[in-house]
Amino acid sequence: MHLPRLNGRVSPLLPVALAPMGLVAVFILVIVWVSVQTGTLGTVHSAYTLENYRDVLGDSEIYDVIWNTLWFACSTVFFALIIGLPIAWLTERTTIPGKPAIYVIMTLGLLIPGIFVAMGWTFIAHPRIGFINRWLVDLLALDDGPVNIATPVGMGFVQGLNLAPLAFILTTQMFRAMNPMLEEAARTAGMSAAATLRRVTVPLAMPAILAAVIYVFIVGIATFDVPAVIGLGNRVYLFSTYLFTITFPEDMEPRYGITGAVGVLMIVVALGLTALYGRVLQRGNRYQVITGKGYRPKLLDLGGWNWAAWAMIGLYAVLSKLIPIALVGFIAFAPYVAPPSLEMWEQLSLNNFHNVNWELVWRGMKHTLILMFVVPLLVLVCAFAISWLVVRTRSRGRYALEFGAFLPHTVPELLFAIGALLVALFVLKDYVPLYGTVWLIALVYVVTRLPFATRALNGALLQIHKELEEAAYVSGLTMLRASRRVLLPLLRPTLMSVWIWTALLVYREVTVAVFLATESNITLTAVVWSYWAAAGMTEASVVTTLMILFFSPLLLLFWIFGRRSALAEQ
Amino acid sequence: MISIRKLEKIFDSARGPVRAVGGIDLEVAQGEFMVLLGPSGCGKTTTLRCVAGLERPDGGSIEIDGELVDSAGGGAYVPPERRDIGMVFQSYAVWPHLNVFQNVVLPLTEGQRRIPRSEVRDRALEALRLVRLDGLEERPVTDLSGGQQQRVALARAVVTRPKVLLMDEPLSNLDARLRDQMRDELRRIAESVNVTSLYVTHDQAEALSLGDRVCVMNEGEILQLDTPKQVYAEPPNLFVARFVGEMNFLPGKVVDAGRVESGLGAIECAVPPACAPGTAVTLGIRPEHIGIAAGEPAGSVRGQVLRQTYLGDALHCQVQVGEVELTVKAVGDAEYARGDTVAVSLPAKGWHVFPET
Amino acid sequence: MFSRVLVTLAVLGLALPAFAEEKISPALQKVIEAAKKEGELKIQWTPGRLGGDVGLRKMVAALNKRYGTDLKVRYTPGPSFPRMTAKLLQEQAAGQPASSDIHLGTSNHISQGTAKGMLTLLDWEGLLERPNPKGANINRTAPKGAAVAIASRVVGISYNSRLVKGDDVPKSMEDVFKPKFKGKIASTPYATGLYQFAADDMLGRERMTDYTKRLAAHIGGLMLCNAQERIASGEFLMLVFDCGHDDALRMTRKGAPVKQATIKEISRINVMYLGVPKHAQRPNAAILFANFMNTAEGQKLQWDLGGHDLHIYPEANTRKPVLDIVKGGGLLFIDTVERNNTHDPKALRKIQAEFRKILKKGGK
Repeated sequence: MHLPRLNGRVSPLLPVALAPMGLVAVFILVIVWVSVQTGTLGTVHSAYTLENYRDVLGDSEIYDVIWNTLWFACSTVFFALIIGLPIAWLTERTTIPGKPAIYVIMTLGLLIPGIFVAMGWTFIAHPRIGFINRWLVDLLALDDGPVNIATPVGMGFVQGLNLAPLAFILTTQMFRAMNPMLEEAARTAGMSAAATLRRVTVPLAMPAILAAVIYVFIVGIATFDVPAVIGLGNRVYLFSTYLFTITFPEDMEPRYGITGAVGVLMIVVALGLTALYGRVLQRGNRYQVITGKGYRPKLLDLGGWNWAAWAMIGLYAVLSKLIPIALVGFIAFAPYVAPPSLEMWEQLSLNNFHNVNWELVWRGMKHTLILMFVVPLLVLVCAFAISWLVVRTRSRGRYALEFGAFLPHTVPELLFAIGALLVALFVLKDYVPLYGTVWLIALVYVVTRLPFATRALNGALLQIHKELEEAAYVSGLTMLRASRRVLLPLLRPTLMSVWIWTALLVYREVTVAVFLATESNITLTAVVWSYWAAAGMTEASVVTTLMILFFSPLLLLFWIFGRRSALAEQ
Repeated sequence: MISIRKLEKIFDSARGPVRAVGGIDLEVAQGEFMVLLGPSGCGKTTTLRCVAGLERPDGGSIEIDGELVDSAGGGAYVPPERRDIGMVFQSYAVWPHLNVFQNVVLPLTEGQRRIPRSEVRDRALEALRLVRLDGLEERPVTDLSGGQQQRVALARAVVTRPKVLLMDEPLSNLDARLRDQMRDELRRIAESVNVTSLYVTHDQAEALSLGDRVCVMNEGEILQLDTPKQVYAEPPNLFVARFVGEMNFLPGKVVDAGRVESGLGAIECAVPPACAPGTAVTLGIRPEHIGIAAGEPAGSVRGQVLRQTYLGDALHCQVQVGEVELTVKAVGDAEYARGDTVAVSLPAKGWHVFPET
Repeated sequence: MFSRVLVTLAVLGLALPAFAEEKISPALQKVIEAAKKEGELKIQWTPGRLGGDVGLRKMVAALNKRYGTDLKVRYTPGPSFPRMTAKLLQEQAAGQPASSDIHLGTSNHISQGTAKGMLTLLDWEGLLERPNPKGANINRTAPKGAAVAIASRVVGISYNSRLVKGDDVPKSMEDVFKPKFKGKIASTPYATGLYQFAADDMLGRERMTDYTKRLAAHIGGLMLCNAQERIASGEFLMLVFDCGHDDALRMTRKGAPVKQATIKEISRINVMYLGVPKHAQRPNAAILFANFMNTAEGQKLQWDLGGHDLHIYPEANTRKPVLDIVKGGGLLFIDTVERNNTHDPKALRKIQAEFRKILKKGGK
């Protein structure tokens, strides 16, 4: 195989591009390696065996878990799309007023940690403490609360609220890029609006919608925060929480082999989905719907229906963000956790805030901030190397690079976290003291954020004519200088927006942080989780409130920058 | 100055390896303006990019000013930034984030051929004057017209005073009038800085007007390497004949060393020695070499005007002569109507005879 | 019979406490000096224990004042005792420093930590400032000196006193099976109480397995002992069984509607220990803290902030509840490391694992 070359030299970018893929391979291999071992790992007592697989597959529990996970993931997809898709359509193809506000609601929505929403919804619709249920019980004199979110479908609903912005973002582009001439052609050919929608619009949109479905599904099967906050206490286990309970059992001897075996099963599922996703994307390319810019789609005039559309968006904002956050805020000021009532209202005080463990909060914030700085930097460096080699070289190796950068997109980040934990504990040990450092978390984040960054940079690099770079070389600039003086300045808007997005996703991430957190690398979201998971609901709410307060300016900053770079692209 | 030996380049494509350049030899003398002419995919740009160092050849070697800059087998390789070259690209490739002055200055301050800071400004202004852009230094390049952008690119290419100037279809994105103007400018600039130029184009008019010598290429091979005049006057094969200038073609059969039988009857012409009597050949004659006059012929062939295209400085007539349709170029202000009978003369020295391939 | 003897011993121990003056030994002085240099105490354990973040900070502040040290607390909320034990063991095996300078646990966890060689073996009696009270019914130090006891907690059922009232308050372990509680009560994911009661000299394995199965099918979910907020909020009506009276007590003090009921069939005094992991980064600060927890001042702070103290000390508030239980006349055991060790800890853990699984699966 030819290595990707420029001017005949093996590109110095190659090692940088390959490094994250090496990590992916190591993480996956170590999971496989651990899955075939039993006994105390890393000692002479461990032995190779298939026992773990027998145990996992022989235990009826795993089938319940698979069933629950499927239900959960499907309902997540359903709710995310039923909310995200119409809103995407409304903003891109109709004259609905206040589009910037919709973008704010939807993009900022993605950045509010799902764990907060899950916590909030426990207080809303939990079968026993959810205030909806409490009110309904009082109102209708029932024995039990009729609404139960502590089911796979209920949790899927909450996760759907969380991921609706993702579905929105994944499909707005499709609506924006879809050539309206194709629809107009149908209309001039005598098809009715309904027939056009059915026979032209929907089939054309299908690949993008399918891609969104699969993407949300993949995120769904690996989600940890919602199932953990709502499901764990009610004995509803999904893949992620099941993995959590066996990786950190209420036992003094964890069986990582079982974790490994379940992880391997999950990887197999993920690889299958990757293949499917790749095929869907390919088909989408064949349709050539996404042809880029140049179209000014004719917008549908909603007329009197504007208010209804806004009512739907408003309801979404209230349900998914405002109420949960208000409830978390309420708990933060309450002496103990209780549903909102007049009596509780009188007891609200700042007491909990006087008792905040600031040392811990600062520590968590320090780690979160380090990660928000380091991870985007590393992601950009690696993604730049990969994108450059993929876009600018002709070697066949570039396809391998592209696949490698895409893979983490479909392998749940949870598995990388487990892989990293196992590597740090059983491979690196104290030779390379990575365990308990933010760098371990950073490595996993870099791997998981790579596909997004690579895709964005691929697009940007394709827009920059390669002759601009070559002009620099023949002008006597070395590759390094050419990159610094020519390529990077031209890529700056993309680099900025990728940076900000990556940083904010790092800020909200909890799954990886929970699996890898120790006292010396705990992040703010992991602090929230640690309190929540082990009894400190009040403390969790207090830290959450602080976190929202601290990071609101940052979200605002993101919005300003994000809008600016979006404008630059137009 | 540039010496290319047995240059070979193979690309991987979806349908397997493609030989873009098939072992060509080319010498460009000091100060010479060499044009590589050919249709797209003929390997001309690849050859140029190999000289620039932007592609690595799979075979052969390249020397610039006596220095071996690339050798496929020997491993010698000088990267583009260390070659004493300037290059102008088809897309102009001016850096959109910099203004005119910054574009021209960057090679002087950041490149391998840096010069002392104190001289940078003068040198840059000199280059801008050369391309007549003085006064526009502070303009963002994105505000410039295509022609001006190409001048910036040119100034940037010559500002380091390279020994070799490489140009990759620099005029193809300009409109016709601008193209003619820039063509003359280019020639003037190349001469005034006395640089050795290698110029790639698919436009034969450009090639003929610019080049000291023209190298016609097709499918990775050199078909003809000669002065523009020779290339026009004596195309060695059908491909060059078709590609450079216009020509009427008709099939024929060799009768003897001085005659070929064709749809126009026996034609008097010089038959190359390689063509034995009886072999099939293609006859060619350029439109301007065919004489045309109004009225009934006397001692020439009779033809009938089918249609005409007025070009301003000349008139292109389609004339039916027997079974054959000929394009004739008439200068002057002659005018013919459709259906007019004309006298057509086909001088023996105007004819080219190409063996069938 | 054995339990009768124990009860008698317990009564004796409580009836005749010895009191002596606290004195800093040269060995302890050395620890103090070393702790001064260490300057920090890194703690990770499950939230709420020892008064939570706030309590811990106050305790260390008092410690600093008493010994002239300047220890800074670095507290991180951690998982439950067994998970934390696993974490510390894992870190030791991987050659990493311990996440917590102190290992907090009950008999089972200390026993395991000792067996795996994770805990530093110390001559606690030579170190502790406060003399061992004469006639105490338990050894305040764990075997081999692997840990030292700091508190004894009476185990029972925590319940929401606003939603469970009058006759509904459980008096027997069978009372929790009332149909109206179905799906509304909780147990712990680590099956506390259930597996200890399965010991041969207690209710026996067969009876407790049956009980656990019925309970698993009856409960609505699992919660940690210290998650009493979930009882206060009404998410669960009661916790069968809790880890000690202190959790409910802390909630009561906050004004939350949580109380604890003891049951007539059996009682357990859950002894809480502190040990120092061999891979602790600040072992001296850890030893000093454990010592402080045993002083009269430390005991009072524990009671005020955490709701627990060690019943062997004369001023201990836990003495009364323990006496109440003894008077109640059911089965009783004081869950010390010694007792754990004499009851085949491996078999016990096996039962626990089995019960955990039953609870997790919901009795299916």
